[in-house]
Amino acid sequence: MKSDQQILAELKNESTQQAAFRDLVSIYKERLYWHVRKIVLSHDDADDVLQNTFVKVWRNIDGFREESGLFTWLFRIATNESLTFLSQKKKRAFVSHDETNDYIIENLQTDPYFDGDDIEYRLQKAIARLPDKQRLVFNMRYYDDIKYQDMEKILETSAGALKASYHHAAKKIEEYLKSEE
Amino acid sequence: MMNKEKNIWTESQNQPSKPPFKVPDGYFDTLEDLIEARIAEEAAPVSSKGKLIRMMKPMLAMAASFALIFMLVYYPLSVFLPNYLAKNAEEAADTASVTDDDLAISYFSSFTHSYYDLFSSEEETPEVEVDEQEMLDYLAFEMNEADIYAELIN
Repeated sequence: MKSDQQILAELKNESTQQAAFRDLVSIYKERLYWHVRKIVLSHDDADDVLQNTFVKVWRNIDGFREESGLFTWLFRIATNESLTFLSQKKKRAFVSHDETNDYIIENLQTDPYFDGDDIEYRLQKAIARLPDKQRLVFNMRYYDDIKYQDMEKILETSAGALKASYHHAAKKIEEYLKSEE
Repeated sequence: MMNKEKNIWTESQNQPSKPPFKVPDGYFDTLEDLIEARIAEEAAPVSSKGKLIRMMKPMLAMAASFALIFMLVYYPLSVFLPNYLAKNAEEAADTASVTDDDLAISYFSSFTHSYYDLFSSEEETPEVEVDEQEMLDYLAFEMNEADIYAELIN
């Protein structure tokens, strides 16, 4: 498997650009897909957002200054695309910005690509009720086990604030699950 | 059920969990091709004909909407109320033919100024300058000496 540096070098060369981009997609597609999927929940939405993410990466690859790692940059684009998608979806559903994300979980139980039982559905429901930032931090820590130091670069927030966000999120989820018993 | 829920929660504190989602079979196998096709599609130059159609699209859509609304109203009326439409058409024909008498009536009825308008209009009132001698002559002509005396006393 090619390293990030090798891919970046090939991306800058016109003759190897397309093949290098294909390699980049192959390497990161699954990790980015699951990151996006946990934010938007439905497969179709995740597919849309992932494709938009890679199109944006292709368009902006010349502007990538390598100040952060390729993985961090890709995750940041995917996160922004996911949040933008959700906010547009909220507008289309006439849901105010302050309201919970209940609407994104409405069709989850009947989604053919939801693979969980009732308890996992309730856990997803609890996660969906969190504010966007707490939800992101919780998912990245809980499902992907991403370190706070890496999260700092992706979300551009201090590790202390991220830890506090995770703590609040976990507490809210626990309370919600208890209240649902 | 509660135990299982507790397990999910407590276990999650120590190890990463798998999200309860799956993807369609073979989804990841074709992703590169899909993305490449989309990038190629977006990069393809749009012909001037295509641009024109894109610009005209909203107008064409609006025209089509009006046509559809007209059809939705006119067609049921022509099928279910043909007499009503025929009557309306006759009335329209009557109003369309204008005789000389109609023109004359409309011409005279266009004079809508009242006497009040004539006198109140500042533009149409001529300004006449009257000197003192003329005023005295006028008063002397209109009033007799007794009237003038009465005016002066008052």
